[in-house]
Amino acid sequence: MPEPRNSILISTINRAEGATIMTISRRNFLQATAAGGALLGTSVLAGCSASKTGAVTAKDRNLEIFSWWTSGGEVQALDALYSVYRKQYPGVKIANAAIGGASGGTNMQAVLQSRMLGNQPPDSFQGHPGAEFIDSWVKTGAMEPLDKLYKDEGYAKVLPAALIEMSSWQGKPYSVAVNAQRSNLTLYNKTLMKKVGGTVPTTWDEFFTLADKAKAMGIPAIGLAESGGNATQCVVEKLLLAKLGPDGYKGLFNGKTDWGSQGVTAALETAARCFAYANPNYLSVIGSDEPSLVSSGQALLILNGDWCIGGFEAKNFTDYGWAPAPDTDGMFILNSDSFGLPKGAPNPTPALDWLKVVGSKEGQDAFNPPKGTISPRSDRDDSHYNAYQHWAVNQWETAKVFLPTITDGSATSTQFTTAWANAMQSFDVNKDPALTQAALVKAAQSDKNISS
Amino acid sequence: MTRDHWLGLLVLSPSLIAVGIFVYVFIGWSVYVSTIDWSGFVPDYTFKWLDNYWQVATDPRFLTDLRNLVLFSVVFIGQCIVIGFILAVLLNRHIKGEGIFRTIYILPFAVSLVVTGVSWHWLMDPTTGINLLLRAIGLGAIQPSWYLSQSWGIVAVATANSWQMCGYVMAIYLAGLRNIPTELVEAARMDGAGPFTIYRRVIIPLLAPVTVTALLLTGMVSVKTFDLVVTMTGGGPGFATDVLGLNMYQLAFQANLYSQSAAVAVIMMMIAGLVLVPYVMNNRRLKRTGLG
Repeated sequence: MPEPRNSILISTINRAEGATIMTISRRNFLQATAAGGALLGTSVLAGCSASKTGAVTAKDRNLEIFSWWTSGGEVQALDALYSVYRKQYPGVKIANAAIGGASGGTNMQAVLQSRMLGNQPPDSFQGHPGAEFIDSWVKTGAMEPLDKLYKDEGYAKVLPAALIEMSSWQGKPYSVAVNAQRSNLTLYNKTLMKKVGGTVPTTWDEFFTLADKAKAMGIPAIGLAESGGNATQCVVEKLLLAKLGPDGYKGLFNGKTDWGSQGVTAALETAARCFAYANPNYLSVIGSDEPSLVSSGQALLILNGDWCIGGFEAKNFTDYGWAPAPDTDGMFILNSDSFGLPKGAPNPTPALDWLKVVGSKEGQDAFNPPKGTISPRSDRDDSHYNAYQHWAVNQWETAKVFLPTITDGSATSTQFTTAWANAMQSFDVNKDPALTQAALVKAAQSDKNISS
Repeated sequence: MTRDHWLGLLVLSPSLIAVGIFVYVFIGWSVYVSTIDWSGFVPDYTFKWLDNYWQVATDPRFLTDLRNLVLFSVVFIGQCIVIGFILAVLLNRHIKGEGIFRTIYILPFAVSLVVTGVSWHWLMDPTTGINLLLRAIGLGAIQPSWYLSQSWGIVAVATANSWQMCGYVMAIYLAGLRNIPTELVEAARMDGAGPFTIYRRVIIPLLAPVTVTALLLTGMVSVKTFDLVVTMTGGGPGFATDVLGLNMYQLAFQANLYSQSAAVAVIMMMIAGLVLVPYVMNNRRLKRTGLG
């Protein structure tokens, strides 16, 4: 069949076999293309303008805050901060760009990296102050120094020097902490503890005595959740502090303490002993379910930070007790959430105002009670704090030394923290202290901070 | 003819440009990134040539990834093709509820891999799921550790993935079966061939193109596995169910070792190419010599 003159051959299928020949008229084809092109063009334009946050309305009237607080007490706390901000700076539209999922904000970090690399930073983003933050964003020149803010707001008078030092690089601070969290805690189920007939252990020897008693009754002494979790990392971190002492522990991050030394071996060997007393399904329990091991009575205690208390409250579990992790009394492994000011933030003035709110007494007093953490300011109002928070404040004020945490990225760079996490994941399975120590030594050698 | 030629080029040009940029230019960029030292936020453009590949290859995790790739591919492709073919043969009988059964079998393919991963994570958890069922029906002695097994965990993941894709392979086999001319089957039957012989000598050879397509599709899926592993095992206990895709993702977004991540990506591409390139070349040779 001959093709009509004004038509376009759309398709032939196996022409040799004389199969289908489809045609449409040229005019119809051009109309269709024009319509399709117009549709594509407008959707591309719409996509472009939607992605430019803050460029739609006037400058300095918007604020985009990027965090991983999307559920429970964390979202309540964030909203409380927003209320304080709105009261002090009316007329600014706040965009809450929180991204949830994955513990410790891994998803949020991935999106943040893309945005920072693509020069589209948010006005402020949540992070843990310390080596990871400094290595990733400060040293690469992506953040503005905040020394003037610190001077104007007088933070040096109300915050301990260790916290300011953790947030600083080359003498200048780059982030403002909104809370203080403690990483080295023992959190236990009070009813189970009474059933076993023991008390919360203050040394590792006491722990193993207690663990043997519990094992005889069929109760796992320590809870681990290792499917995408960091329970083993937390246990080993506290053991490192217990065996090396504060100075030895700090020396791990600047090369003064050798990762191949005896203290590290002792820590890993003690950790290897713990696996025998852990809940037998520790390889398949999802990391975020670690608090539920204690609240549901599957384990006697967990060695983790006070953010697990949020997990208890979410399950309406109040029968929990707390104490410093064994052999680490007086030492405060500090973790905190803080905000900085990225260079090239679309709305610098509201962003700086946000930092003022975050660091202020009013902001922190509104934020911390629902979050379950404490304000690092010495002039905090603790009237709304629960029993744990009161104890935490007392510990904060009487702590002999503040230390960074490896697991949550305040002690080492992302490369080392990932190698650490991977080594601990293998440790869960091979339970071999020597193999794990070799992996950590290798990771330390390739880390510029430690090996220099 | 020239006007049609130019018009054809014009019509194809948006696709050509898009594919050119988003596929080939970016592949080139990945190869370039894998040869420099980009191990932090700011790239350091000094050439390290094959150093990144060496660092990736000497990581014991990488060897586990390769082993898992082979195991996963064999189990996944084998299950998909065998089960898909059997289901297609059964459905080809023009039974009454064929449409319903076809829908049921192909429905898992409509479920995203993330949902598949989460569901099978719970199904194959040794303390819940299938093991509970086994205990309930009196087979409590058989309590496999599924994806927590050090050596065979990846087989569990492959099974979950083949549950998802069997229906799709069944659909293409069904189309292939329906295209086989009945005269050939009848001729074979008249020559005295029994049912098994008909399948072995007539039907399966005629379905060879479909089998190749299925092999290719499932092969590509197995090289690129990522979402299922992340949601089902997270890399498994001690990286026992780790795969190349997950390794690449963590190198980039957790460790910020972008160059090493690019090296893993290039290796994945070369593995996929190993399978694809000979097939395409063979096809072209057959077409050229008129045998295809």
